[in-house]
Amino acid sequence: MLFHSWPFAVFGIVVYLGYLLLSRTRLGLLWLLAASLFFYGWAGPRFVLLLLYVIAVNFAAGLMIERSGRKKLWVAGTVMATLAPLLYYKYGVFGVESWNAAAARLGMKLGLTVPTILLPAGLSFLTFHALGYSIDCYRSHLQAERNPLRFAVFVAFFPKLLAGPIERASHFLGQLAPRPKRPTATDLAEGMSLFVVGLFKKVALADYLSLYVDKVYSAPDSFDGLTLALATFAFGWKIYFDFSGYTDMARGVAKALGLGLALNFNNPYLATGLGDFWNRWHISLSSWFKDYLYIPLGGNRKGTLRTYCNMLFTMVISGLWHGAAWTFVIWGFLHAVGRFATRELERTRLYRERVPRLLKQLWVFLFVTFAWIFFRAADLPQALLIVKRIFTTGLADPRFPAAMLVLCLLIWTYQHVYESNAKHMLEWAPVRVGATAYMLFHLVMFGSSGSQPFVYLQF
Amino acid sequence: MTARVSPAREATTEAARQAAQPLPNSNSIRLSWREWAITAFVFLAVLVLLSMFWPATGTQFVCADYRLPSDLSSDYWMFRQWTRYGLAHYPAVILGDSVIWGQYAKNDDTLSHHLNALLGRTVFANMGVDGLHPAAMEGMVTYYGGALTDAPVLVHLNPLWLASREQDLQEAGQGETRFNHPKLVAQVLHRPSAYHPTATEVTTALLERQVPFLSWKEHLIATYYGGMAPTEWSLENPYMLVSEDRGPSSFSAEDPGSPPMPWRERGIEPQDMPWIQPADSYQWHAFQRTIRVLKSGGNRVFVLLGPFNIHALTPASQARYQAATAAMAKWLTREHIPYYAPPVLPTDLYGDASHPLGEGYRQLAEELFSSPSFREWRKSWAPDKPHTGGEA
Repeated sequence: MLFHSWPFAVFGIVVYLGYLLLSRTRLGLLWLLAASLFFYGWAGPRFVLLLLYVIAVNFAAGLMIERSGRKKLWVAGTVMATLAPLLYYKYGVFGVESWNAAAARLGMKLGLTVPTILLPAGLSFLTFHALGYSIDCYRSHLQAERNPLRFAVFVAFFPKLLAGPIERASHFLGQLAPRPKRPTATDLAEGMSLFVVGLFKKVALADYLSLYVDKVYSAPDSFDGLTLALATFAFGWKIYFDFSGYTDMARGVAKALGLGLALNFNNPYLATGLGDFWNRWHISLSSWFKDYLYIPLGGNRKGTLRTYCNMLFTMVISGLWHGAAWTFVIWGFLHAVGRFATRELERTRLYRERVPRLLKQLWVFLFVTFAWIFFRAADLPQALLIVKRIFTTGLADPRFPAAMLVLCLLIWTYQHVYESNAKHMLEWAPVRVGATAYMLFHLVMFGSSGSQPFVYLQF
Repeated sequence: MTARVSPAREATTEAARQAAQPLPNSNSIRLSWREWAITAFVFLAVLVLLSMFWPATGTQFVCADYRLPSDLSSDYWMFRQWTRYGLAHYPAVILGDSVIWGQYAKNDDTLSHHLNALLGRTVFANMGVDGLHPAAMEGMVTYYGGALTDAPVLVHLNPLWLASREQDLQEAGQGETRFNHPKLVAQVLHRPSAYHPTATEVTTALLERQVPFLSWKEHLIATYYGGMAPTEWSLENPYMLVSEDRGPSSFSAEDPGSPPMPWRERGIEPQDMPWIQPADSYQWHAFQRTIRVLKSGGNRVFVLLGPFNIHALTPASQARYQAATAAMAKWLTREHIPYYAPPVLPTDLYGDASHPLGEGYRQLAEELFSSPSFREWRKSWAPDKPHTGGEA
């Protein structure tokens, strides 16, 4: 059930009204859980069992880790038991295909039958939600949750279930204890604001940009370098609008219900370095990897070489998290290299003090955009073909829609102003009201009733 | 949570406190209730004013023998404008599908033209809409035909819509036989068996009927963006915001929809159409409801039944056709609805199974004009003075 669909509109209203009635009773949490299970089961009821499995394993694990003297054993078992479905569903086909390719290259007749596996929506996200909790319990950063209902709502809460933000138990469970607060009219007003911005990003911007991107990327050998470059830029903005739009809508729905979700995107294309980029892009995932992978590996505490190894490993795993393909591994690798470069550059006084901020932003944007080629391409040969054609073919008229360009430039300018001293201009009530009215009008006028799924739902 | 581990307790208390605060954001779009009320007012005012005062009616209606261009047959906002204009300038209208529109005839060779010629003045407006089968006509009259209230309406029933289970919307057709105007048919109750819309399609159709802005938007898409979503249109026209050579006036409705030639010359052979008997027909029941809607709106209704090209039927099919039309005529008689079922036209005056050619319309108009039921019906509302509106 997509946020920008009529079924969700009906579902959302019913859940909101029901929760208004029940939030002060013990049934409030039960209502949220029932709504979340219904939401998850909408596309495929059988995967609800998988969700319940992850909830049950990690709920029990939290209690056992806290009570048992063999915490390490319990947490290791929990990590394996929680990751097992993810490894099977997400990486099963990739593993078999990689094995078959390697066996074929070595001339061995050890090929396996490639299984047909349907990836449950949001599996990566709910796995990380639950794992973060169990690891926090192991580290004694968090006391195990005793109420299974509350824990189930933490893992399964529908706005964040399919594509995050990946909430930390310390942040989210606290909002449910002892009982969630009743949603207020202010919550609803704020939630609606977030939702409308997210809807605009998704329907008016991301879906629009994807028309151009899909056309070009579906036949890259038919287009010249300039067109391919523009399609890649368009994809950079498309994926940002798509994913941050989803997050805004998720945060809006949660806020309307009186619950706060973490900020997940903070104008990432204004980043001045790759480290800064990852502090602004998919913040909940990058901080998850930082806390549960990079720092346990040693972080930056064990010398420069080890720091870069840790960084490389974390980014490659992050790439693989996004998808089971070598293109994602390369994407992660490129970001790791970019981080090394900007980290070293930022240590020099010349770069820090003499290079204009806009220039830094521009090069980070160009680098990130280049890396998106590997993220978007169907496979590695196609990605390499696109890179080659961008640098070797001509500058034929790209026929890039002017309206698309104007919209992207307007958003980019807005973000610059928002992060400048002139921010107060954007906070002026007529500007906010006018912008919201325009977004609504644009959605009604130009929004398509056909829904395109969110990119990140496949992860 | 208990207070056993104090850092955790502190963390949760902090989280609860944060939940009560405004969320961190990456833009300034955060409205209070008051601001939302102002936004809603501005938004709705723009929608209402635009769709109310948009000068899209233009001057095209003022030409004699105007008919909605077939490219705009799904532009229901335009149909609504045409009924408003038409009823202000013509005493009566003829409602139907492409048989009334005149698939193989120029706009000055249609039934409405020939009837007006026989009457010596402009009386009937051609409100035929391409593909408007009875189930769609019910929706059109109910949701977009408000201006028809109290008007004399000649309703044409094309029996072709009962010729098979596909035409009767009992079975889904393939390709070109996929039915027309799905947004006009019943979306929830009385939905045709052949119609399997998504929830989004149902919601969109229901909203478009109730919110004039949405049908106006479809009008803009049809007239300025060639029927494409503006976003998709911009891919083909990357350096334009709207089509420069478009607009309602750019669509011509003068020429026939298809080249006028007798049906035999098209290579059509007599067919063994199965025919659905009215008692079992979805389209017939929809037609009955349409008549009731019109009558409840004070309309003086006259039904024209046929003339179907029975030359294009096998003998067995002709027999089933006769039985079906006899049952329809029986119902019309029982309900005291004036009607006329003209005899079949000469075979060469048909362009296909149901559409007459220009000369066929002329003969049909003469038949109709001389029929007692039509004369009596016309007398019940005909103005004493000649009406001159609608002329160019």
